[in-house]
Amino acid sequence: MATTGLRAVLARELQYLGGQPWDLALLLWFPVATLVLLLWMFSSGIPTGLPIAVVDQDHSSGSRELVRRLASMRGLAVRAQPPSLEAARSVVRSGAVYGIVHIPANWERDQLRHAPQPVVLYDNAQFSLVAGIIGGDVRAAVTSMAVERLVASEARFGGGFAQAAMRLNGVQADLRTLFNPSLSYEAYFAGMLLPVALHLFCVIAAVSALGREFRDRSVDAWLASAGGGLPRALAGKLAPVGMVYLLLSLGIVATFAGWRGWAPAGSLVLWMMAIAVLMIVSVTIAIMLVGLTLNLRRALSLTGFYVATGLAFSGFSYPRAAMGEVAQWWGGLLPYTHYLPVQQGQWLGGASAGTWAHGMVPLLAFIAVPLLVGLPLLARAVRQPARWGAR
Amino acid sequence: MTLWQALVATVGSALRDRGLVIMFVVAVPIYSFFYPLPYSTQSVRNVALLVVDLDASPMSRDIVSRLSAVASVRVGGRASAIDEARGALAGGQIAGIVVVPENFSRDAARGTPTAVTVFGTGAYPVQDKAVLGSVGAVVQGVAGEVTDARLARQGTPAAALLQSERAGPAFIDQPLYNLARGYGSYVVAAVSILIVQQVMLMAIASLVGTWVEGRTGTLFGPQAVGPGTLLGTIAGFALFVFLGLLYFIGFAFWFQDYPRGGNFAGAVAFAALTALTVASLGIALGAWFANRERAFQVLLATSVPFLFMGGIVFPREAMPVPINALAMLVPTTPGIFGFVKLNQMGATWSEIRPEFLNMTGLLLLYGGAAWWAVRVRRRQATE
Repeated sequence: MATTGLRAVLARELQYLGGQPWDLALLLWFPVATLVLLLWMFSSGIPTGLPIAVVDQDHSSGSRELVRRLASMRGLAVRAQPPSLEAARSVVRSGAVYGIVHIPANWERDQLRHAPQPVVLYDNAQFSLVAGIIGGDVRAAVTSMAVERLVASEARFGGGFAQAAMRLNGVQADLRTLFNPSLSYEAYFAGMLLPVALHLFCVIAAVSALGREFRDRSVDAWLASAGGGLPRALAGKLAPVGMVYLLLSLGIVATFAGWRGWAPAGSLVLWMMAIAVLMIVSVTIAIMLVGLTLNLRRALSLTGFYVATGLAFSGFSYPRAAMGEVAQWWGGLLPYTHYLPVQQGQWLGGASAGTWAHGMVPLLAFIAVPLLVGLPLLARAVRQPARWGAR
Repeated sequence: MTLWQALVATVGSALRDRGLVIMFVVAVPIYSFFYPLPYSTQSVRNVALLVVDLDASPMSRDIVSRLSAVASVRVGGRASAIDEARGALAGGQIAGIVVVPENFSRDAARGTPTAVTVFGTGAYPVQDKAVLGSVGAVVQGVAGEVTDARLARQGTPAAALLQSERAGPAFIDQPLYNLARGYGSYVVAAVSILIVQQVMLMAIASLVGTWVEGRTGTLFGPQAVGPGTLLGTIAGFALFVFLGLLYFIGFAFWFQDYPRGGNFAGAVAFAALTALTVASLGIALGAWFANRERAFQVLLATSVPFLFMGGIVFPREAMPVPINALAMLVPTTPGIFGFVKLNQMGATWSEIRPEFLNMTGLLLLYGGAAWWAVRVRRRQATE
């Protein structure tokens, strides 16, 4: 084996990892465990049986029928039937139920008098996703009863129930969700969180590998093993990180498209190319962050600020179009913001290759710009031993 | 070292560390302004729709003009065919497609069933719900007018129509807490607790790791370490965590106008308990890592799993039992639930009993872990 050069740097890096269980764990085992945890967390796909309380102050056959229909909804579980709203609110505050369905006294009688009182769902919007599911299911149960009554009343104009229903549904809103039509939260959360978690792990691992040499004042030994050239030293040093994360990223795609059976609507190859580029971007960002700080701890702090908060600005849940200008602008400076629509387009949407290429342009810029910033800074710093060793 | 001496020495050590003082003192305020930025607009607005109007009638134009009056969506343009719009939806450039079918207004007038079709994208569920909900409401408004016109034609008395028009809705969906249904109010209330925990765990574990490296600090210096020293050190670090939590529940929520102040005294008491727990865990981790930088390497990537394990974003009922059990070991799990119940929902102390018990258990567990880890490290150092 050559004593200096690319292979020598690589060998030096691998030897270090072999002797440092912590670094190996941070590079490999910790990310793998986190990905498995995240995948497992959302494995039920769609929340079911969310507990609610029902306050039935009507005690009519109609209100009992409504309670039965509520209990039969997939998303709901009628956990408590307190006598009053005040008692029910305490059950909500204690966290045992997520909402209260209130059926007022004389509800059925007033309906028959054509002066209906509403059924009120008091949900808990501090739990936004849960409130959405419960709201939809309670609405469905209540309207299913209301519609039956309406049809019966409309039928007096003749033509029987079928025609009455047709007349009532003259103009409808046909609401459809394309791409992930069941709104599986497994596909949604796992699909978005696994790549962003891996992106973050990759930046941390690359920052750690590079920043370590400055912390330990071993920059000269590192460069010497490479035979002097900074590009070769960087390539050899970051090759293990790059290879591990390229494989893990393709493992994510294989898990989704293969094991979980979510076949991509677009192109598997284009999706794999995009996630591979995200990993390369992670490495170049690490080069930039270490170049800017020459300090492992500060580079990691910046990683927290720049990468770990990126999810919030990416539009993965709250749409970017709805954000304020500053948040939109900052989101545009984060690579994951640009990766996300490319992945969702190829995986779920079936976007065209042209759309993909258009989306890849900013991602590729995230390879070039960090290198343009980071490489000159590093090139200068490796010749200035006085600046090494900062913690 | 007495408890009080250890407390003072710990606070002094945190403030004198030029790298970490930023984490102890200013990181929480910085994140309190930075993190809520995306959510400050509170509700979905301006997401783009493409309209495919195959009817081109006054009625279909009426639907489009009503859509442009809805804040959550914006009519971003027109397409002549669904296939043309579908590509833009798949690529994420638009959020939804509204299709008015051919002969829509004629069928509506005749009573032939017809429908306005709305396509959202399940690739972005929050946006999807906003699109389907708002377009659905507009179409229902039009449908109600069409039905009324037909009923009048069929001879329903005007008085009866008026009565049914004035009748309230059959169903009302009213939030008990977070009354504006603000997206930021929901996310920030939970994430703020996570921010304090993560920033403080990194700062404490990093400083304790630095102590181990340099054989210094209250716990790793040459002097003997008794229970008083450990308790004083925990209290010293807990002071920073406590101030971070108070900053959020007493200032940031007020300044940024998020729901707050439900049970302020209870929240302050729970903040003290949480602060002691986080400080103990930070000391245990720092003694274990024995290194200045490792806390950052390990903890940076835990924020996302910790947030989702907390059960606010994705409900506990839908998570596997072992994950819920694991989540109980993370202070943010009882922390986020407890603080949301106290601050945003105004829970009484007895109503946060599960969170109080969970957090107290963690304090004992991590207090014990800190004691054990410090002793093991000190023994290693003398060997």
